[in-house]
Amino acid sequence: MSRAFDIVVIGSGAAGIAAAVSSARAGRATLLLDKNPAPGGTGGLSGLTTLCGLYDEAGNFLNDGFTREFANALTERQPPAQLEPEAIPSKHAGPETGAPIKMGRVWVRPYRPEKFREAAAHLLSSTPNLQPHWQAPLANVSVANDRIVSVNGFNVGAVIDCSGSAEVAQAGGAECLETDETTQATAVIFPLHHVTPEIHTPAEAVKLLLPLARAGFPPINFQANLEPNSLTAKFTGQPAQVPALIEFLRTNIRGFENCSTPLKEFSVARRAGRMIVGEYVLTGADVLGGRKFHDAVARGAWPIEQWNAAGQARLRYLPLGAHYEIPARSLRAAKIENLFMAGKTISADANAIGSARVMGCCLATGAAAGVLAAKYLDSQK
Amino acid sequence: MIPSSEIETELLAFLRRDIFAPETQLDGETDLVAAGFDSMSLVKTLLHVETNYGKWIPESEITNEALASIRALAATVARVLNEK
Repeated sequence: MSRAFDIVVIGSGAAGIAAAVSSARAGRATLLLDKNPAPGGTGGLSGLTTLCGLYDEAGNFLNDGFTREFANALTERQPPAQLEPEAIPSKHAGPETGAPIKMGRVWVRPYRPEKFREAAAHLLSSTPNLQPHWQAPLANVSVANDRIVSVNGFNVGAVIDCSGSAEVAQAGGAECLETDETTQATAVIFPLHHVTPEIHTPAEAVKLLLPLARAGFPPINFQANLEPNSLTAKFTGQPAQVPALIEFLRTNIRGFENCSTPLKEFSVARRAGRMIVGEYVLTGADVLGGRKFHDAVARGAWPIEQWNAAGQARLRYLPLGAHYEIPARSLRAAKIENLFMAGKTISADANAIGSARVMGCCLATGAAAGVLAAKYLDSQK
Repeated sequence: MIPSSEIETELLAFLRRDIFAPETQLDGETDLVAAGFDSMSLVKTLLHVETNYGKWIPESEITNEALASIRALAATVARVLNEK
Protein backbone atom coordinates (compact mmCIF):
# COMPACT_ATOMS: atom_id res chain seq x y z
CA MET A 1 0.00 0.00 0.00
CA SER A 2 1.29 3.47 -0.78
CA ARG A 3 1.71 5.71 2.25
CA ALA A 4 1.03 9.42 2.21
CA PHE A 5 2.71 9.71 5.62
CA ASP A 6 4.75 7.40 7.78
CA ILE A 7 3.41 8.80 11.03
CA VAL A 8 0.39 10.93 11.87
CA VAL A 9 0.32 12.83 15.16
CA ILE A 10 -3.00 14.07 16.50
CA GLY A 11 -2.88 17.23 18.62
CA SER A 12 -0.21 19.90 18.99
CA GLY A 13 -0.02 20.40 22.75
CA ALA A 14 3.18 19.58 24.63
CA ALA A 15 2.91 15.86 23.79
CA GLY A 16 2.04 16.37 20.13
CA ILE A 17 4.84 18.86 19.51
CA ALA A 18 7.35 16.47 21.08
CA ALA A 19 5.98 13.44 19.22
CA ALA A 20 5.89 15.14 15.82
CA VAL A 21 9.37 16.64 16.12
CA SER A 22 10.98 13.42 17.36
CA SER A 23 9.26 11.31 14.69
CA ALA A 24 10.36 13.75 11.96
CA ARG A 25 13.89 13.85 13.36
CA ALA A 26 13.94 10.05 13.15
CA GLY A 27 13.55 10.58 9.41
CA ARG A 28 9.86 9.73 9.20
CA ALA A 29 7.47 11.71 6.99
CA THR A 30 5.23 13.12 9.69
CA LEU A 31 1.83 14.74 9.49
CA LEU A 32 0.55 16.74 12.47
CA LEU A 33 -3.20 17.33 12.66
CA ASP A 34 -4.73 19.88 15.01
CA LYS A 35 -8.27 21.20 15.15
CA ASN A 36 -7.03 24.65 16.20
CA PRO A 37 -5.61 27.28 13.83
CA ALA A 38 -2.22 27.26 15.60
CA PRO A 39 -0.12 25.01 17.85
CA GLY A 40 -0.20 25.08 21.62
CA GLY A 41 -2.87 22.81 23.07
CA THR A 42 -3.36 23.09 26.81
CA GLY A 43 0.19 24.39 27.34
CA GLY A 44 -0.14 27.26 24.88
CA LEU A 45 -3.82 28.07 24.66
CA SER A 46 -5.52 27.37 28.01
CA GLY A 47 -4.01 30.28 29.95
CA LEU A 48 -1.63 28.06 31.93
CA THR A 49 1.61 29.80 32.90
CA THR A 50 3.50 27.14 34.88
CA LEU A 51 5.26 24.13 33.50
CA CYS A 52 4.96 21.27 35.99
CA GLY A 53 6.66 17.89 36.17
CA LEU A 54 10.04 18.88 34.70
CA TYR A 55 12.11 18.47 37.84
CA ASP A 56 13.02 16.06 40.59
CA GLU A 57 13.00 16.92 44.29
CA ALA A 58 16.37 18.69 43.98
CA GLY A 59 15.25 20.86 41.05
CA ASN A 60 17.17 18.86 38.40
CA PHE A 61 15.62 17.82 35.08
CA LEU A 62 13.92 14.41 35.27
CA ASN A 63 14.00 13.94 31.50
CA ASP A 64 16.68 15.12 29.11
CA GLY A 65 16.47 15.28 25.32
CA PHE A 66 13.53 17.05 23.74
CA THR A 67 11.88 17.81 27.11
CA ARG A 68 14.84 19.85 28.22
CA GLU A 69 15.29 21.41 24.78
CA PHE A 70 11.69 22.63 24.71
CA ALA A 71 11.75 23.91 28.31
CA ASN A 72 14.88 25.87 27.51
CA ALA A 73 13.25 27.30 24.37
CA LEU A 74 10.75 28.98 26.72
CA THR A 75 13.46 30.75 28.66
CA GLU A 76 12.83 34.42 29.08
CA ARG A 77 15.36 37.17 29.07
CA GLN A 78 13.73 38.93 31.99
CA PRO A 79 13.61 37.37 35.43
CA PRO A 80 10.38 35.83 36.71
CA ALA A 81 8.10 37.88 38.93
CA GLN A 82 9.10 37.88 42.56
CA LEU A 83 5.69 36.82 43.76
CA GLU A 84 5.49 33.24 44.95
CA PRO A 85 3.22 30.86 43.05
CA GLU A 86 0.62 29.20 45.24
CA ALA A 87 1.35 32.02 47.65
CA ILE A 88 3.47 29.69 49.73
CA PRO A 89 6.88 31.14 50.50
CA SER A 90 9.99 29.38 49.39
CA LYS A 91 13.58 29.65 50.45
CA HIS A 92 14.71 28.41 47.07
CA ALA A 93 13.03 30.69 44.54
CA GLY A 94 15.58 31.31 41.83
CA PRO A 95 15.23 34.74 40.24
CA GLU A 96 17.74 33.95 37.50
CA THR A 97 16.64 33.39 33.94
CA GLY A 98 14.67 30.24 33.33
CA ALA A 99 15.31 28.90 36.81
CA PRO A 100 12.68 26.72 38.43
CA ILE A 101 10.84 28.01 41.47
CA LYS A 102 9.50 25.96 44.34
CA MET A 103 5.76 25.51 44.84
CA GLY A 104 5.06 23.67 48.08
CA ARG A 105 7.23 20.55 47.76
CA VAL A 106 7.72 20.63 43.98
CA TRP A 107 9.62 22.70 41.43
CA VAL A 108 7.89 24.41 38.52
CA ARG A 109 8.95 26.71 35.72
CA PRO A 110 6.92 29.82 34.95
CA TYR A 111 6.50 30.66 31.26
CA ARG A 112 4.60 32.96 28.95
CA PRO A 113 1.92 31.19 26.89
CA GLU A 114 2.77 33.31 23.82
CA LYS A 115 6.39 32.15 24.12
CA PHE A 116 5.12 28.56 24.28
CA ARG A 117 3.12 29.05 21.06
CA GLU A 118 6.03 30.82 19.38
CA ALA A 119 8.52 28.07 20.32
CA ALA A 120 6.05 25.41 19.14
CA ALA A 121 5.39 27.16 15.82
CA HIS A 122 9.10 27.67 15.23
CA LEU A 123 9.97 24.02 15.95
CA LEU A 124 7.14 22.66 13.85
CA SER A 125 7.91 24.88 10.85
CA SER A 126 11.70 24.42 10.95
CA THR A 127 11.86 20.63 11.36
CA PRO A 128 12.37 18.76 8.06
CA ASN A 129 9.95 15.88 7.26
CA LEU A 130 7.21 17.52 9.32
CA GLN A 131 3.99 18.88 7.87
CA PRO A 132 1.40 20.46 10.17
CA HIS A 133 -2.23 20.81 9.11
CA TRP A 134 -4.17 23.37 11.13
CA GLN A 135 -7.94 23.54 11.60
CA ALA A 136 -7.91 19.87 10.73
CA PRO A 137 -10.14 18.05 13.22
CA LEU A 138 -10.10 14.29 13.15
CA ALA A 139 -12.72 13.36 10.56
CA ASN A 140 -12.28 9.67 9.95
CA VAL A 141 -10.09 6.80 10.99
CA SER A 142 -10.20 3.51 9.16
CA VAL A 143 -9.02 0.33 10.79
CA ALA A 144 -8.38 -3.04 9.18
CA ASN A 145 -6.89 -6.14 10.84
CA ASP A 146 -6.18 -4.27 14.10
CA ARG A 147 -4.19 -1.58 12.30
CA ILE A 148 -5.10 1.99 11.49
CA VAL A 149 -4.79 2.27 7.71
CA SER A 150 -5.85 5.85 7.14
CA VAL A 151 -6.61 9.06 9.00
CA ASN A 152 -8.60 11.84 7.33
CA GLY A 153 -7.99 10.16 4.01
CA PHE A 154 -4.19 9.93 4.37
CA ASN A 155 -2.69 6.46 4.37
CA VAL A 156 -0.52 6.02 7.45
CA GLY A 157 2.10 3.67 8.85
CA ALA A 158 1.57 4.57 12.50
CA VAL A 159 -0.49 7.01 14.55
CA ILE A 160 0.35 8.84 17.78
CA ASP A 161 -2.68 10.04 19.72
CA CYS A 162 -1.73 13.22 21.58
CA SER A 163 -5.26 14.61 21.55
CA GLY A 164 -5.62 14.49 25.34
CA SER A 165 -8.97 12.82 24.90
CA ALA A 166 -8.05 9.70 22.93
CA GLU A 167 -9.78 10.94 19.79
CA VAL A 168 -8.15 8.42 17.48
CA ALA A 169 -8.78 5.57 19.85
CA GLN A 170 -12.42 6.52 20.09
CA ALA A 171 -12.73 6.74 16.33
CA GLY A 172 -10.76 3.53 15.82
CA GLY A 173 -12.56 1.54 18.48
CA ALA A 174 -9.65 1.03 20.89
CA GLU A 175 -10.40 0.37 24.55
CA CYS A 176 -10.23 3.48 26.79
CA LEU A 177 -10.16 4.38 30.46
CA GLU A 178 -11.88 7.51 31.70
CA THR A 179 -11.23 10.10 34.34
CA ASP A 180 -14.26 11.95 35.56
CA GLU A 181 -15.32 15.00 37.49
CA THR A 182 -14.65 13.24 40.78
CA THR A 183 -10.90 13.05 40.14
CA GLN A 184 -10.02 15.50 37.37
CA ALA A 185 -12.43 18.42 37.54
CA THR A 186 -12.02 21.11 34.90
CA ALA A 187 -10.72 24.65 35.50
CA VAL A 188 -11.15 28.08 33.95
CA ILE A 189 -7.72 29.67 33.61
CA PHE A 190 -7.28 33.41 33.02
CA PRO A 191 -4.81 36.22 33.72
CA LEU A 192 -5.71 38.96 36.20
CA HIS A 193 -3.95 42.24 35.54
CA HIS A 194 -3.50 45.37 37.68
CA VAL A 195 -3.22 43.45 40.91
CA THR A 196 -0.89 44.45 43.71
CA PRO A 197 -1.54 41.84 46.36
CA GLU A 198 0.71 40.99 49.25
CA ILE A 199 0.87 37.21 49.01
CA HIS A 200 4.19 36.13 50.39
CA THR A 201 3.14 33.96 53.29
CA PRO A 202 0.53 31.26 53.95
CA ALA A 203 -1.40 33.64 56.23
CA GLU A 204 -1.60 36.29 53.51
CA ALA A 205 -2.81 33.69 51.02
CA VAL A 206 -5.50 32.50 53.42
CA LYS A 207 -6.68 36.09 54.05
CA LEU A 208 -7.14 36.43 50.29
CA LEU A 209 -8.82 33.08 49.66
CA LEU A 210 -10.98 32.64 52.76
CA PRO A 211 -13.44 35.49 51.94
CA LEU A 212 -13.96 33.97 48.47
CA ALA A 213 -14.65 30.56 49.98
CA ARG A 214 -17.04 32.02 52.58
CA ALA A 215 -18.89 33.80 49.75
CA GLY A 216 -19.45 30.40 48.18
CA PHE A 217 -17.14 30.72 45.18
CA PRO A 218 -15.65 27.44 44.03
CA PRO A 219 -11.97 27.20 44.91
CA ILE A 220 -9.55 29.44 43.06
CA ASN A 221 -5.81 29.36 42.99
CA PHE A 222 -3.54 32.27 42.09
CA GLN A 223 -0.11 31.71 40.64
CA ALA A 224 2.68 34.09 39.80
CA ASN A 225 3.28 34.63 36.11
CA LEU A 226 5.92 36.57 34.24
CA GLU A 227 3.89 39.77 33.71
CA PRO A 228 4.23 42.70 36.11
CA ASN A 229 1.31 43.20 38.52
CA SER A 230 -0.37 40.12 37.19
CA LEU A 231 -1.45 36.70 38.44
CA THR A 232 -2.76 33.60 36.71
CA ALA A 233 -6.07 32.47 38.18
CA LYS A 234 -7.15 28.82 38.06
CA PHE A 235 -10.80 28.80 38.91
CA THR A 236 -12.65 25.54 39.39
CA GLY A 237 -16.06 27.09 38.77
CA GLN A 238 -17.89 27.75 35.54
CA PRO A 239 -16.90 30.35 32.91
CA ALA A 240 -20.18 32.21 33.58
CA GLN A 241 -19.13 32.83 37.21
CA VAL A 242 -15.90 34.65 36.32
CA PRO A 243 -17.35 38.19 35.97
CA ALA A 244 -18.98 37.91 39.42
CA LEU A 245 -15.74 36.58 40.85
CA ILE A 246 -13.75 39.53 39.46
CA GLU A 247 -16.35 41.95 40.81
CA PHE A 248 -16.10 40.32 44.25
CA LEU A 249 -12.31 40.63 44.20
CA ARG A 250 -12.50 44.31 43.18
CA THR A 251 -14.98 45.09 45.95
CA ASN A 252 -13.65 43.00 48.81
CA ILE A 253 -10.00 42.14 48.49
CA ARG A 254 -7.07 44.43 49.19
CA GLY A 255 -4.72 44.68 46.21
CA PHE A 256 -7.44 43.64 43.74
CA GLU A 257 -9.37 46.94 43.62
CA ASN A 258 -8.40 47.59 39.99
CA CYS A 259 -8.09 44.03 38.76
CA SER A 260 -9.27 43.06 35.30
CA THR A 261 -8.70 40.36 32.73
CA PRO A 262 -7.96 40.94 29.06
CA LEU A 263 -10.02 37.87 28.11
CA LYS A 264 -13.47 38.40 26.63
CA GLU A 265 -14.48 34.76 26.74
CA PHE A 266 -13.61 32.06 29.22
CA SER A 267 -13.21 28.45 28.35
CA VAL A 268 -12.88 25.32 30.40
CA ALA A 269 -9.51 23.55 30.47
CA ARG A 270 -9.49 19.81 30.96
CA ARG A 271 -6.86 18.46 33.29
CA ALA A 272 -7.14 14.92 31.99
CA GLY A 273 -9.70 13.21 29.87
CA ARG A 274 -9.44 9.75 28.50
CA MET A 275 -6.62 7.23 28.41
CA ILE A 276 -6.08 4.43 25.89
CA VAL A 277 -5.54 0.94 27.30
CA GLY A 278 -2.01 -0.10 26.36
CA GLU A 279 0.12 -3.17 26.81
CA TYR A 280 0.65 -2.03 30.40
CA VAL A 281 -1.59 0.21 32.51
CA LEU A 282 0.50 2.41 34.80
CA THR A 283 -1.10 2.47 38.26
CA GLY A 284 -1.27 4.89 41.16
CA ALA A 285 0.75 2.37 43.19
CA ASP A 286 3.50 2.43 40.54
CA VAL A 287 3.63 6.22 40.80
CA LEU A 288 3.62 6.46 44.61
CA GLY A 289 6.02 3.51 44.92
CA GLY A 290 8.53 5.08 42.49
CA ARG A 291 8.39 1.91 40.36
CA LYS A 292 11.07 1.31 37.71
CA PHE A 293 10.61 -0.66 34.47
CA HIS A 294 13.01 -2.53 32.14
CA ASP A 295 11.46 -0.72 29.16
CA ALA A 296 11.29 2.74 30.77
CA VAL A 297 11.05 5.68 28.36
CA ALA A 298 10.18 8.61 30.66
CA ARG A 299 10.35 9.68 34.29
CA GLY A 300 7.86 11.44 36.51
CA ALA A 301 7.83 12.74 40.07
CA TRP A 302 4.78 15.01 40.21
CA PRO A 303 2.37 14.12 43.04
CA ILE A 304 -0.92 12.48 42.15
CA GLU A 305 -2.98 15.64 41.90
CA GLN A 306 -6.69 15.06 41.83
CA TRP A 307 -9.56 17.51 41.91
CA ASN A 308 -12.98 16.60 43.15
CA ALA A 309 -16.26 17.98 41.85
CA ALA A 310 -16.14 20.73 44.50
CA GLY A 311 -12.85 21.82 42.95
CA GLN A 312 -10.73 20.77 45.89
CA ALA A 313 -7.26 19.42 45.30
CA ARG A 314 -5.92 16.26 46.82
CA LEU A 315 -2.17 15.79 46.50
CA ARG A 316 -0.43 12.51 47.12
CA TYR A 317 3.34 12.80 47.02
CA LEU A 318 6.00 10.29 46.16
CA PRO A 319 8.51 9.57 48.94
CA LEU A 320 11.10 12.32 49.28
CA GLY A 321 13.58 12.21 46.41
CA ALA A 322 11.78 9.40 44.54
CA HIS A 323 10.68 9.26 40.92
CA TYR A 324 8.81 6.66 38.89
CA GLU A 325 9.26 5.48 35.34
CA ILE A 326 6.80 5.14 32.47
CA PRO A 327 7.32 1.98 30.40
CA ALA A 328 7.19 1.90 26.58
CA ARG A 329 4.31 -0.57 26.97
CA SER A 330 2.17 2.26 28.36
CA LEU A 331 2.66 4.22 25.14
CA ARG A 332 1.54 1.36 22.87
CA ALA A 333 -2.14 0.55 22.43
CA ALA A 334 -3.16 -2.97 23.38
CA LYS A 335 -5.64 -3.64 20.62
CA ILE A 336 -4.34 -1.61 17.67
CA GLU A 337 -0.75 -2.47 16.84
CA ASN A 338 0.27 0.76 15.08
CA LEU A 339 -1.36 3.15 17.57
CA PHE A 340 0.85 4.94 20.10
CA MET A 341 -0.10 7.51 22.68
CA ALA A 342 1.53 10.31 24.61
CA GLY A 343 0.60 13.01 27.10
CA LYS A 344 -2.78 12.74 28.78
CA THR A 345 -3.86 9.69 26.78
CA ILE A 346 -1.13 7.24 27.88
CA SER A 347 -2.17 3.93 29.34
CA ALA A 348 -2.57 4.85 33.00
CA ASP A 349 -5.30 4.47 35.57
CA ALA A 350 -7.22 7.43 36.97
CA ASN A 351 -4.71 7.76 39.85
CA ALA A 352 -1.51 7.52 37.80
CA ILE A 353 -2.72 10.04 35.23
CA GLY A 354 -3.17 12.54 38.09
CA SER A 355 0.62 12.66 38.11
CA ALA A 356 1.59 11.78 34.53
CA ARG A 357 -0.74 14.35 32.93
CA VAL A 358 1.53 17.35 33.68
CA MET A 359 3.48 19.01 30.89
CA GLY A 360 6.93 17.68 31.80
CA CYS A 361 5.61 14.12 31.41
CA CYS A 362 3.66 15.07 28.28
CA LEU A 363 6.85 16.34 26.62
CA ALA A 364 8.81 13.25 27.68
CA THR A 365 6.17 10.70 26.64
CA GLY A 366 5.62 12.64 23.40
CA ALA A 367 9.30 12.49 22.48
CA ALA A 368 9.42 8.79 23.42
CA ALA A 369 6.29 7.95 21.40
CA GLY A 370 7.81 9.58 18.29
CA VAL A 371 10.87 7.35 18.61
CA LEU A 372 8.80 4.22 19.38
CA ALA A 373 6.55 4.78 16.37
CA ALA A 374 9.59 5.25 14.11
CA LYS A 375 11.17 2.03 15.48
CA TYR A 376 7.92 0.20 14.95
CA LEU A 377 7.96 1.19 11.26
CA ASP A 378 11.59 0.02 10.99
CA SER A 379 10.51 -3.37 12.32
CA GLN A 380 7.77 -3.61 9.70
CA LYS A 381 10.15 -3.45 6.74
CA MET B 1 -15.00 25.63 77.27
CA ILE B 2 -13.82 23.46 74.41
CA PRO B 3 -10.30 22.23 75.18
CA SER B 4 -7.68 22.79 72.54
CA SER B 5 -6.74 19.07 72.61
CA GLU B 6 -10.26 18.10 71.57
CA ILE B 7 -10.11 20.51 68.61
CA GLU B 8 -6.68 19.11 67.69
CA THR B 9 -8.04 15.54 67.61
CA GLU B 10 -11.01 16.62 65.50
CA LEU B 11 -8.78 18.56 63.07
CA LEU B 12 -6.39 15.63 62.66
CA ALA B 13 -9.34 13.37 61.83
CA PHE B 14 -10.55 15.94 59.28
CA LEU B 15 -7.11 16.25 57.65
CA ARG B 16 -6.71 12.47 57.41
CA ARG B 17 -10.17 12.13 55.93
CA ASP B 18 -10.37 15.10 53.56
CA ILE B 19 -6.92 16.51 52.84
CA PHE B 20 -4.05 14.07 53.07
CA ALA B 21 -3.72 10.54 51.81
CA PRO B 22 -4.75 8.14 54.62
CA GLU B 23 -1.23 6.71 54.91
CA THR B 24 0.37 10.14 55.54
CA GLN B 25 2.08 10.41 58.92
CA LEU B 26 0.40 13.30 60.74
CA ASP B 27 0.40 14.54 64.28
CA GLY B 28 -0.25 17.80 66.07
CA GLU B 29 3.25 19.06 65.43
CA THR B 30 3.55 18.20 61.71
CA ASP B 31 4.76 21.21 59.73
CA LEU B 32 1.78 21.56 57.39
CA VAL B 33 3.44 23.51 54.59
CA ALA B 34 6.41 21.13 54.52
CA ALA B 35 3.95 18.22 54.39
CA GLY B 36 2.58 19.60 51.12
CA PHE B 37 -0.29 21.70 52.45
CA ASP B 38 -1.21 24.32 49.87
CA SER B 39 -3.15 27.52 50.45
CA MET B 40 -6.40 25.94 49.27
CA SER B 41 -6.05 23.15 51.80
CA LEU B 42 -5.50 25.74 54.53
CA VAL B 43 -8.65 27.55 53.41
CA LYS B 44 -10.59 24.30 53.33
CA THR B 45 -9.46 23.50 56.86
CA LEU B 46 -10.44 26.95 58.17
CA LEU B 47 -13.82 26.74 56.45
CA HIS B 48 -14.33 23.35 58.09
CA VAL B 49 -13.51 24.88 61.49
CA GLU B 50 -15.88 27.79 60.88
CA THR B 51 -18.73 25.54 59.75
CA ASN B 52 -18.14 22.95 62.44
CA TYR B 53 -17.92 25.37 65.39
CA GLY B 54 -20.20 28.09 64.01
CA LYS B 55 -17.82 31.02 64.35
CA TRP B 56 -15.66 32.97 61.92
CA ILE B 57 -11.95 33.21 62.60
CA PRO B 58 -11.16 36.95 62.70
CA GLU B 59 -8.58 38.18 60.21
CA SER B 60 -6.27 39.22 63.06
CA GLU B 61 -6.05 35.57 64.17
CA ILE B 62 -4.91 34.34 60.73
CA THR B 63 -1.15 34.42 61.22
CA ASN B 64 1.70 32.25 59.99
CA GLU B 65 2.26 31.08 63.56
CA ALA B 66 -1.38 29.95 63.81
CA LEU B 67 -1.07 28.02 60.54
CA ALA B 68 2.28 26.39 61.31
CA SER B 69 0.88 23.16 62.76
CA ILE B 70 -2.40 21.58 63.78
CA ARG B 71 -1.54 22.13 67.46
CA ALA B 72 -1.02 25.86 66.84
CA LEU B 73 -4.22 26.10 64.81
CA ALA B 74 -6.21 24.20 67.46
CA ALA B 75 -4.93 26.57 70.14
CA THR B 76 -6.01 29.57 68.05
CA VAL B 77 -9.45 28.09 67.38
CA ALA B 78 -9.89 27.28 71.08
CA ARG B 79 -9.03 30.85 72.03
CA VAL B 80 -11.46 32.29 69.44
CA LEU B 81 -14.27 29.95 70.49
CA ASN B 82 -13.78 30.49 74.21
CA GLU B 83 -13.76 34.27 73.94
CA LYS B 84 -16.81 35.85 75.49
